[in-house]
Amino acid sequence: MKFDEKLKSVICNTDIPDDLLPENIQKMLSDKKSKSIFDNPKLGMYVRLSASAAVILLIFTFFSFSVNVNTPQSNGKYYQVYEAFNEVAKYNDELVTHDDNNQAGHGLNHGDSDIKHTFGAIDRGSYPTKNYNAKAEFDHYTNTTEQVEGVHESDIIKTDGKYIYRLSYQNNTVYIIRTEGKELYLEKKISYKTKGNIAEMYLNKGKLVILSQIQNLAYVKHLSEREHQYGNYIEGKYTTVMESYDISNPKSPALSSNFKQDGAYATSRLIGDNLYLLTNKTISYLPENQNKYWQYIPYYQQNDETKMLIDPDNIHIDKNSSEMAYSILSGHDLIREDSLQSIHAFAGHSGQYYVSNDHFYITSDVDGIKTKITSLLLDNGNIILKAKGSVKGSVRNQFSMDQYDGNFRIATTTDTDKLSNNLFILDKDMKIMGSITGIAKKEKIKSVRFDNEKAYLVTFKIEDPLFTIDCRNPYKPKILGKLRIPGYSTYMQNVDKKTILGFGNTANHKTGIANGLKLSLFDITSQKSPKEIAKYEIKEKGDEYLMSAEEYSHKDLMIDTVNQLIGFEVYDYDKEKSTYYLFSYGDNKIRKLLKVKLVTTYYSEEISVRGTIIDNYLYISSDDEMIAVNLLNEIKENTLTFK
Amino acid sequence: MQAQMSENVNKAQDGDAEAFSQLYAGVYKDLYRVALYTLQNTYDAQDAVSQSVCDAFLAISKLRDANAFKGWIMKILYNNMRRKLKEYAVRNQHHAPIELLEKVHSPYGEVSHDEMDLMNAMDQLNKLERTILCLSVIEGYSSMEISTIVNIRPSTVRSKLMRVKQKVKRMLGDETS
Repeated sequence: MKFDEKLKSVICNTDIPDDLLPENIQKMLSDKKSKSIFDNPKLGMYVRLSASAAVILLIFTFFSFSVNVNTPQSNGKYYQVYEAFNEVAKYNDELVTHDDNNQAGHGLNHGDSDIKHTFGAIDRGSYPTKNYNAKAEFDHYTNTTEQVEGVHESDIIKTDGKYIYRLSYQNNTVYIIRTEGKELYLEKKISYKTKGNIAEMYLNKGKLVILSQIQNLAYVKHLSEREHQYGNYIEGKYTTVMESYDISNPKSPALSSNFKQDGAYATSRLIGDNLYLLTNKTISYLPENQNKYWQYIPYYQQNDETKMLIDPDNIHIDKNSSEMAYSILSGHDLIREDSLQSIHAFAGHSGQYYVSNDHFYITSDVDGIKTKITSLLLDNGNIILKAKGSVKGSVRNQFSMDQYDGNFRIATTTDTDKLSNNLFILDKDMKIMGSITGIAKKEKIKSVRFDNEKAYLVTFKIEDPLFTIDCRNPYKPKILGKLRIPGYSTYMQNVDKKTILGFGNTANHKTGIANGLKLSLFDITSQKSPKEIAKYEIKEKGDEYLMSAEEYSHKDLMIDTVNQLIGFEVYDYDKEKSTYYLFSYGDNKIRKLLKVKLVTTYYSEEISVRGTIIDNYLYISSDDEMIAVNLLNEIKENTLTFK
Repeated sequence: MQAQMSENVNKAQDGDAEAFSQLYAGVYKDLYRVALYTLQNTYDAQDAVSQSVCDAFLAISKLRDANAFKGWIMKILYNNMRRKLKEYAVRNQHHAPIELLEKVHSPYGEVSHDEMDLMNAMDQLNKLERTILCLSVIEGYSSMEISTIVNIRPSTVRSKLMRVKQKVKRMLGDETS
C-alpha cells in the first residue's frame, strides 16, 4: 500500500464520538436556539452549566469583576464605541477566508531537492581557537539583540553581567543564576505555576519585570465534562500581567508592584525607566445593552486595586472600524510603585510595531492590501496620539520600519494581484513624502535594514537581490544598486560603514527552496555594486531538515557587536537535535568558532535557546539547561539543569 | 450539489440548524480526525469540534462564499486547537498518546501491526506537523487550502509536508515508500 493511502486508512479508521454525529449536533444547535442562549446570553457569554468547581469559580470571578469595575461618569463616548462596534458586528467579514493565490513560491517544484550543489571560497575545515579575539576583556556582556539603540526589548533571558535571569517556558519559571566563570549557581526560582503563563522579561535598575498572560477560560474547558451547555464566549479572555520584582538581593526577589491590562500580550519596549506595554483584545460578543460597558470596554488594574475601564477620551475608535478589537497601549514609570502614566485603546487588532526613542508606531494589516499606521508620541510614559496614515502592501516585521530625521520609513510587500515591493517615506503627519513602488516584481521582502540615509532591502524568489537604496532626499528615494546571490537574508545587521552581516537561508539555485542556513558579509562600500565578500553555509545533508531562517526572530540571534560574534541555535527537525553555533564575523571573514550540542526535550513553537556572553564565557541556555563554555579554550566546563 | 450547498449556507445564515447540520455532515469526520490527531486526546478533540461548530454556527452570517465552508470551518477548528495547545503550555501538560492507541485497539477501529507502527511514528511528530499531515492525506486539502487554515505559506506547507512524510517513512524503516 502506498504511504499516503496507508496513512489515510489509519486516520479514517478513527471512529467518531456519537455526540458529534450531524443529527446530534443539529439537536444541540436547535436546543440552544430554543433556549435562546444565543440571543440573550447571560452576562454576555454562554455559561456552561457544569457542576465543576472551576466553572463556579469562573462565574464568581466574573461577577466580582463586573461589580467592582469602576465606571467613569462621562460615558457618552462609550456609546460611540458601541455604535462603531455595532456596525462591525453587522458587516464583519473578517472570518471569511481570503484568496491566497498570489503567495510567493507558488508553482515551485518541491519534489526537487538538489542539495549537492556547493559553493566554494569558504574555509570550513578549520576551527582555530585564535578566531576568538576578546576585544573587551572586562565587564563585557551581551543582552537581547535590539533594533533601536536605547529602546530595549523584552526577552526570555536577561543579564546584568553577573546574574542571568532565564525563563523556562516548560516549567513556567524564571531561574536566577549567578555566574562566576564556569561556575553556575542557581540562586532562586520564581515560579508562575499557580499564575499565568510567563511571556518575557525586562531588567532595569535592580528590578526584574515579568510579563505574563492569564487565560481565563483555560481551566473551564478542560475541567468540565461533557455537558454541552456551552460557555465559550467570555470577554477579556486574556489578561496581561506586568509584575515588578525588587532584585537588589537576587537571592530573595520581592514582588513590589503589579499591573494588569486587558488583552493578549503583543509587544513592549523599555525606554529609560518607561515601559510601554501593548496588548490586543478582541470583543467576541457585543452585549445588547450598551450600558454593560465592562463587556466591550477594556480595563486595567493597578496593584490589585479596583479594576478601571479605560477613560472614554482615551479610546480612539474610527467610525469605519472593520473589526471589534482594540490595541491597548499603556505607558509606565518603573521607578514608581503605581507605575501607570497613561493608557489608551486604539481601534483594531495590530500586527507589527516599530518603536523609536520618542515614537510608537502601531501598524495593522488590512487583508494584505494596505497597512494602517498609528503614530504615537511617547513622553516619559505618556502617550499622545499624533497621526494616522496608511500605505499599500503589508509589513514583514519591525525591521521594515524606521524613523529618521523625524520621518517614518516603511517597506512593504504588495501581494494582491502582482507581487511587488515598496518603500515609503512619511512625514510626522503620516503623509507620504516620497516612495519607490514596484521594487522586485514577483518577489517578496525577506529583510530590511535602514541605516541613516541608506536602506538595504532583500527580496526573494529564487535568488536574493540585495537592494541598496538612497533615502537622503525623503521626497525622492532611489535605488542605487543591487546584488543577486543564491539564498537570502532574513536579518541584516550593520557591522560598520562598509559592511553588513546577513543571516538567512541558503536555497537551491534552481528552485529557490531553502536547504539550510547561511551567514553572509556584504561589502557596501560601493552602493552601486554591493558585494558578498564572505559566507558560511550550514547546509542540510541527506535527509536533514533544519529550522528555516524564517523561524528566527532577531532575539533568537545573539550578536556581540564588540567582539563581532554571532550565535544561534540550529535545530534539526529530523533528528530532533539542537546545536548551538558561534561565529565570528570580524575582519571581513566569517569563521565558525564553536558548535555545541544541546539537550532540549521541550518542543515549542518559538525558539527558546539563547546564548549570553559574559567576559570570556558563553552561557548557552535552553528550556532545560544552561551550559558554560570557556571561549578561550572552547571547553564545555559546566552544565546546570533546570528543574 | 453546489447549489444545495449554497442553499444550505443561506439557510444556516438565517439560523437554520438543520441546514447547518447538513453542511456539517460533509465535513465533521475530517474535523474530528484532524482534531484527534493534533490534540491526541479524544475529550479535547470532541470539545474542540463542538466548540468550533458553535462558533461556526454563530459566525456563518459572515461567510460569503458557500464553497469556502469547508476551509472556513477547518480554520475555526484550527484556531480553537491552537488555543487548546496554548492551554497545554500553560498547564505544562503533555498528553501521552496512550489514549489514542487504546482507541485504535477498540472494537470499532482495529488496525494492523503496520498501521500501529504508523500511529506510533505519527506520535513523534510535532503538532503542526500532525495537523498538516492529516489535512493533506485526507482528501481535498491542497497545500493552498492548508496554508489558509494554518496560516503559513503554501510553499512552506509543501516543503514541511515533504519533510514530514520523509520523516515518518524513515521512522518506519522506509518499508512503505
